[in-house]
Amino acid sequence: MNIEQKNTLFIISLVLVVLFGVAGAAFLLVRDHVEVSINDELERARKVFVQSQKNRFDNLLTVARSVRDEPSLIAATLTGDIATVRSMLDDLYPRPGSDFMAVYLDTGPGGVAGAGNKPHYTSPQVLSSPVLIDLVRGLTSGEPISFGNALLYDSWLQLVAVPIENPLGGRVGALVVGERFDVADLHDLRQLVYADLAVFNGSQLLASSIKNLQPALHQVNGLSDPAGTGLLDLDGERYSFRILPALNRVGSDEQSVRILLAVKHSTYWGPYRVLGGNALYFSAIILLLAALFGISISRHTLTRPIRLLARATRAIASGDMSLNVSMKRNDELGQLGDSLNTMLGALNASRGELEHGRQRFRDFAASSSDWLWETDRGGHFTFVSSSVSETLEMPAETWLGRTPAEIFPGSNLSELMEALRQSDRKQRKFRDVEIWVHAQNADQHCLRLNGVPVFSNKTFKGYRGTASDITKLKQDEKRMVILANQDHLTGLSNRRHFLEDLNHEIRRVERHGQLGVLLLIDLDHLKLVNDTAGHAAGDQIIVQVAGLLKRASREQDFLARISGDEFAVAYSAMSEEQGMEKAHQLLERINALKPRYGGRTLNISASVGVVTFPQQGKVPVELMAKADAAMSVAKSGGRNRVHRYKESDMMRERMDNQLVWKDRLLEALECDELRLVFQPIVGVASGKVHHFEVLVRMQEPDGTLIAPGKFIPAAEQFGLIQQLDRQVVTKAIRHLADLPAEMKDIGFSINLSGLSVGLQAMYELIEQELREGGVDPGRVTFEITETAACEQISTAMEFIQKVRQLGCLVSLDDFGVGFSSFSYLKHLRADILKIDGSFIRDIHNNNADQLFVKALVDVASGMGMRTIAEFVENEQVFERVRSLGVDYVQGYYLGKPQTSLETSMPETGVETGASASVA
Amino acid sequence: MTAKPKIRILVALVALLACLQPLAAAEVKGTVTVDYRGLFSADSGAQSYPVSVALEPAAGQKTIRRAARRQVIEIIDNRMRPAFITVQKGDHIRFINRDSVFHEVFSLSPGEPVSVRLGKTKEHNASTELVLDQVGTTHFFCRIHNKSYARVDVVDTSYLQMIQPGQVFHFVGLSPGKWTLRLASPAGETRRVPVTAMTSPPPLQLTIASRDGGFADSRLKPQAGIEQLYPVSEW
Repeated sequence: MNIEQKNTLFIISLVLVVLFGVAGAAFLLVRDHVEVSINDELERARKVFVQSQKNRFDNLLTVARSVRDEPSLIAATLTGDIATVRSMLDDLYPRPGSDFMAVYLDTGPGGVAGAGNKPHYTSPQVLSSPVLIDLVRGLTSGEPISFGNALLYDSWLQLVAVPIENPLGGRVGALVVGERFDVADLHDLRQLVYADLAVFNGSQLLASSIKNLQPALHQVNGLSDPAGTGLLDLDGERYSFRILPALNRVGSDEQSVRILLAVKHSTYWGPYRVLGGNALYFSAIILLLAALFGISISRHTLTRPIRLLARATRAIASGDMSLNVSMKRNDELGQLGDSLNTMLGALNASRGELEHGRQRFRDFAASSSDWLWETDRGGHFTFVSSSVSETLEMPAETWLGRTPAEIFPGSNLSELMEALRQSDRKQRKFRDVEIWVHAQNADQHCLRLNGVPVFSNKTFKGYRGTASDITKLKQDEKRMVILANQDHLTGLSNRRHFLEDLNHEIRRVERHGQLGVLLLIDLDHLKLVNDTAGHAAGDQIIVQVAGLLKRASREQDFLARISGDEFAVAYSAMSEEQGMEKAHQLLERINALKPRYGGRTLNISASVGVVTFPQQGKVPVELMAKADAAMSVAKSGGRNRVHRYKESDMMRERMDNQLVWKDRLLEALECDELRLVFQPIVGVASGKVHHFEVLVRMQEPDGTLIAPGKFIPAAEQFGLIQQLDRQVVTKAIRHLADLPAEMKDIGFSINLSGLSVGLQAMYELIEQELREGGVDPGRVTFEITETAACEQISTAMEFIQKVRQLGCLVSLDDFGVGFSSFSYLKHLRADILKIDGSFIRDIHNNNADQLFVKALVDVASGMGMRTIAEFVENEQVFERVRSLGVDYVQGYYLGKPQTSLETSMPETGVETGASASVA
Repeated sequence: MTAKPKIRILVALVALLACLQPLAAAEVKGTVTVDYRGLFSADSGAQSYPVSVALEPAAGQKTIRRAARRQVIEIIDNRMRPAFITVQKGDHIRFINRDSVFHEVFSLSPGEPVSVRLGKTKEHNASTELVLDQVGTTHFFCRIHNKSYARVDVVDTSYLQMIQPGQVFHFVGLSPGKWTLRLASPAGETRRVPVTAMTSPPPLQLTIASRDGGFADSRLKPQAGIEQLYPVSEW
């Protein structure tokens, strides 16, 4: 049943309820009214009946008086002869208005004569009946009139008796005049009293306007209250009736007859039945109209709008958003329609945005190097970006419904599966899960996945996240590690890698109770070779020496080129003597190389320092320093020789220098003899200088500026580096604050030592100086060495985050020298990478440096970081780093450190500025 | 033949008879009919009352007075019979009660009023006799029986005849000349018509007007209903 039918039914029901209510109330009202009306009608009928009887008696009395006054009656009566009277009556009778006359002479018994229209009226039995005699005797007391009723056989007569008087005085007789109440009278009277009538005496029914009353007379006679009202059911008709007794005469208790006054209920109910019928008829019409009206109103006001809304919602459900619900109404449905239209508009807009978002998502998913994926609870892929096929040559469709283990059956996916299995417990997100998989073409790919659990109504549904192919990154990283750990010219380990290996070897031999020997071999006069025969000749010598050393080494030995002309070799399981012997053998073989270059034979010599471990040192740097000290002794002893390390070698050199610089630094800090110099950092693309690296110099009394390489080690050795950093930071920020307005876009890069990084005091100092100086934090960049940052990674991360929150920038200094993994970059979140100068200085001649710098630039660019190349000292270097995509450059080619900013500003762009600076 | 030539012939015959008067006794004859002109139309079968025809001398005519006669009116079944007679002045009227009940006869007449109770038949006072010596009409009633009635006309002539309406009256042996013919009937008005007695007179055709509806139906007719005053209109 739809709403329209329900509403129609409701309206009909409502109308029916109202009709039934009205009908019920009307029925009760009518019933009471009918009962009252019937009783009133019976009472009225009774009064009318009595009045009619009175009129009859009055007429009868008039007749009696006229007859009595007839001279003939008087004359006859005066004769005293009853026969004469009878003959007179024969002449007088009939008289209108009388059915019976009788004259009673006052002459004793037999003195009565009568005339009537029925023979038996004049019979002696009738004339001498007690009723008539009693009536006549009613006059004897002097009454002028006597009224009475008499039942004479089957006739009910109303009688009036008047005395007949002698004209000379005295009563000589009585005249009785009677009129019969017959059926015609009854029907006439019925018209008058407007009620049914019946005359009966006991079980004898004399006349009745009610058919078939005779059998029901016993009901009438059984009325408990003779004066009350009774009910009579006859022939399917109900009557209310009352009984009136007709007495023999006034004052008598004898009843001649009884009169039944009855009112048909149907007479009174009839109009109401007609009314009810009409009401029913009109109610039916009203119901029909109400139904039609209800349907119309319902259709107009409710159903049609709801259908419109339902059609609109169905259309919406089917995806059709073009529908517009047109309802010009001001009621709630109109508001609903307006709201639906508004909602549709918003939905269309949202849908457009959603479609736009989807398209954007598809574009991102299709164009992004990262893939988007989604799994169900069981780890089966339900969605994978289509771009996955480009990399792994596996259509995205083949991923759907399969777990990673099913897609890559031969791959080690334990970490990923472990992450996905978390769904059974805590459904935690996971980040940077790296897996190695085999593509269709059997290539290995490294995928990095991030995932978050997906919930719907708090029910875990699976995971979704991103994945990226970091194979190239891994390869770059691997290559970078190799590059960072290898000497590109010789293929030997570099200094950093050698130190690591040495550290491990020291630990190993220590664990095994063995000895080891470290040789530091410095080629003599190699710079001279480079300068005279060219770098290629020098490189050739280096390569040949490296080959020699490699051939002379065992598998378990470690060999490295630790600087341009220095090699280090660590021999395990070797005594000091064996080491000395080995050193001499190597020196001899180096001397015997005699390489030829440019038509010349080159003589090569070397100075070798020998230390043992772990007896003479357990720390690689320390051990290297001691080897270096021994090598320096050998070099100072005339070169081309081997020197065994002694404690005196190291102690003398180091202590002499650092103690001096410690005192000098303290003095400089106290006397404010530290000076800042500024080296410009030039934007490669713009050629503009907006940034300077702040460098510190110690000013001697004679005005000479001492480079930091002299006093920084002492500062670090004796714990003065933090104090030095504070002074530099304070001076630099205050200098920025004091810059004129036209230089307000100039920024400084300030170096922080590893010991200062993470200090709360340093952070507070930076914040205070920035606040008090009113310096825009964006103008300040703090340079932190990669080594310092990586050694205390968590502290560095926190410090970098806080400094960046202040608005300052962070640059990782000397990058490429000491890092072990690119992953640190991800955690440190620096803004700038400053590539270590060792990779830059000779880059125009060194392919390995170019590769390294290129990889570094790519990685930094991929991570949103900018790069600075330092030690750009000539045009060739500048051109090379520019071609490799480095963002900023710094070096003597572009500008040397100056005490004032004005003099260090390049005049024009890079080309012109750079040329001018170099000049 | 039309009416006018007949009248002319009759006038000529009358004139001829007048010339022959001395030669023969004159006579008057004719018929009398009752013309009911009253408000009540007589029933077709109505009983006709007798008509008394008396011829009175008009101017100097001599009449032959006969001897007084006794006329009898009997009361039978409470009615006087005959109810209408015409007598010569000086005649005797005797009322005889033939019923077994009392009657009381009284008169309304120009002469001495009469009021007498007649005993029951065969009683000694069951009859009475009166002498009517006053010309005129005397009405007799019974005081007890109000339908008992008789009319006696007293005329001063001996030429009297009682005929039924339409019957021929014929007076003969008259002296020729002017006479007055007196016509009376209970149902009609008394009429005096001048006539001429002649020999072989043409019969007179006389009419007296009656205003009595007659006594065709002595039964009591049912009363007209008042409701008939307000007939139901046919709308």
